[in-house]
Amino acid sequence: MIYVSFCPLGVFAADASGKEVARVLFEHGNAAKNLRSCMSIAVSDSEKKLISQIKSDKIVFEQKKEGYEHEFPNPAGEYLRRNTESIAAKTGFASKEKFLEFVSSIALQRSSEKMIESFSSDKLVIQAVNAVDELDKVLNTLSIRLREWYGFYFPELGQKIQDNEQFVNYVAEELYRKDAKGIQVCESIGSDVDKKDLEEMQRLAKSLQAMYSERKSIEGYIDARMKEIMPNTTAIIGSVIAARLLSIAGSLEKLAKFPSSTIQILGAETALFRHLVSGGRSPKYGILFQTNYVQQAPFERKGKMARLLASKLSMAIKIDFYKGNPVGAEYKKALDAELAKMKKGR
Amino acid sequence: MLQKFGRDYATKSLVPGKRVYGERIIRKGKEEWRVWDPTSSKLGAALVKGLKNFPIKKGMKILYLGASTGTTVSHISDIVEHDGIIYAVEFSSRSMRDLIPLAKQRKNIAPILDDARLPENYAALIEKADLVYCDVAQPDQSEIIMRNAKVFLKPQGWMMIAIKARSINVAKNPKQIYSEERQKLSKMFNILEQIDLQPLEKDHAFFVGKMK
Ligand SMILES: C[S@@+](CC[C@H](N)C(=O)[O-])C[C@H]1O[C@@H](n2cnc3c(N)ncnc32)[C@H](O)[C@@H]1O
Repeated sequence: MIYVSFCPLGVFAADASGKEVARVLFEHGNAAKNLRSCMSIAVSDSEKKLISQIKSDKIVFEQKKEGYEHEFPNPAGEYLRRNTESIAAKTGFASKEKFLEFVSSIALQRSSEKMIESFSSDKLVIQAVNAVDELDKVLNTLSIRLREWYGFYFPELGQKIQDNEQFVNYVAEELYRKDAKGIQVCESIGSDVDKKDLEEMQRLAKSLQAMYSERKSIEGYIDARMKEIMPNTTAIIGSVIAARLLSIAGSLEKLAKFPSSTIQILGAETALFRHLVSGGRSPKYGILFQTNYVQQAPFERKGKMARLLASKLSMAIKIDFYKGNPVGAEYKKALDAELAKMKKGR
Repeated sequence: MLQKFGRDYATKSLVPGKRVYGERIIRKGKEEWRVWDPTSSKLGAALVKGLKNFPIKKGMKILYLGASTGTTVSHISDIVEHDGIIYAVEFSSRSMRDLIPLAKQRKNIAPILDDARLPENYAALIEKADLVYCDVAQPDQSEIIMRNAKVFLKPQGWMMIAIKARSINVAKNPKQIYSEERQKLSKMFNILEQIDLQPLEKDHAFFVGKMK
């Protein structure tokens, strides 16, 4: 039995006692490239060359290799892990330092390549949906600030217009008091303030308007991207909530590995933690609470709805990940029917 | 090189003029010493809490599992200098984005983007190490360090591990978790020291041991 393994210097063969029996060294400048091909499952050129030198027909690799057995760790690998440095000294490396620098540079190249390979567009959508959530926070905080500020001048408006965006639009575009929405300006209890006070409020309102419009634009972007990345999931719960699931999981790959019970409570980590530590109620839903399905289900059926939804979603997500046949519309129909039944009290 | 300055520990910078994580710098003539912040690094915390066994020395080969963005790795890099090496395994590509620029500055860091549970994936890059360090914050961290030590640690080699109780079981008492993990690790290592990192790191213990 002959064992084969490799290191940054080349491919080596050893017998069961770890004695070297053959080697094929990489050309110095091509080490990273050669190493990469040895790391893949196909037999590389250097490995073919080595095999041709080996007399035994029972060859065991240390890593998975097409058409061969493998065993990790194996005696050839053990031999290399003990001796690479001294082999390096004999094959032309001037010093330990030079050799270690060579190893680091190969590791660095390999990791950089893997970074580029591991990129996928779900990472972009995750940033985008996080930006939407952060914009919402900022918009909410600053809209409340604007209401307080503008309230000195025209307190009735804030009471009449509950919606933040509409309120911001009024201050940005109308600014001055006027009879509207059943408010009589002559009855206002607001104080008169200077023009420069009002203009500063208007500037803030205009910035907020710009943020609202940015939010819409990002949402449109998320929608378009999500329809490519997760068409089935998006068809069921919409692109933004689907993107939030993606964001909590970290990637589509990870999300696709979650069982439906995890998807059901994704986003309720704090509640789950409380449940585990102090035996509080176990959470029934996390992000899925935001969906129409759970929102519209009758109170006592929300938990059941979340469970049904999660089970359909977990299949849809897997199909999105493996790019299977579309099921989104069909699942959505089934869930819609279920919701209608629940609402009728059945 | 590692030295104490008053109550702080610091390592002599391999690349003067470059800060890694916003650490304080102490200047001594032409030398620059980077203060090891015990609230950013568990090994730094263990030192401040009186760690007696600190085997890391110039010229050592270190296998570091869970390198993250390289806070602790950078101090070890200062200590092992250019005739040593740190194989820095990290599986998050986000962390690797920061670790790679660090490795470009410090030639003794070999960044490895891979899962520490799968040593066969990166075995080709690594020689037997003098010390295996593990800080992956995973429920199976003891198994992870043993699987790596079995393949990569020299006989009588050292191990250091930070045990995060919360990542093993949020509901259990940390003390109980530490003793369970200690028992698991004792199959392969003689545990020489155990330090509770409280209050520098909440619910963390630090173990140092030697391969049996
Ligand atoms: C607590 S942090 C490490 C901090 C670092 N040791 C320091 O002191 O600067 C844990 C790191 O381990 C990484 N990690 C977790 N599981 C891993 C695994 N199986 N393989 C490789 N890295 C892992 C995480 O991505 C994270 O960056």
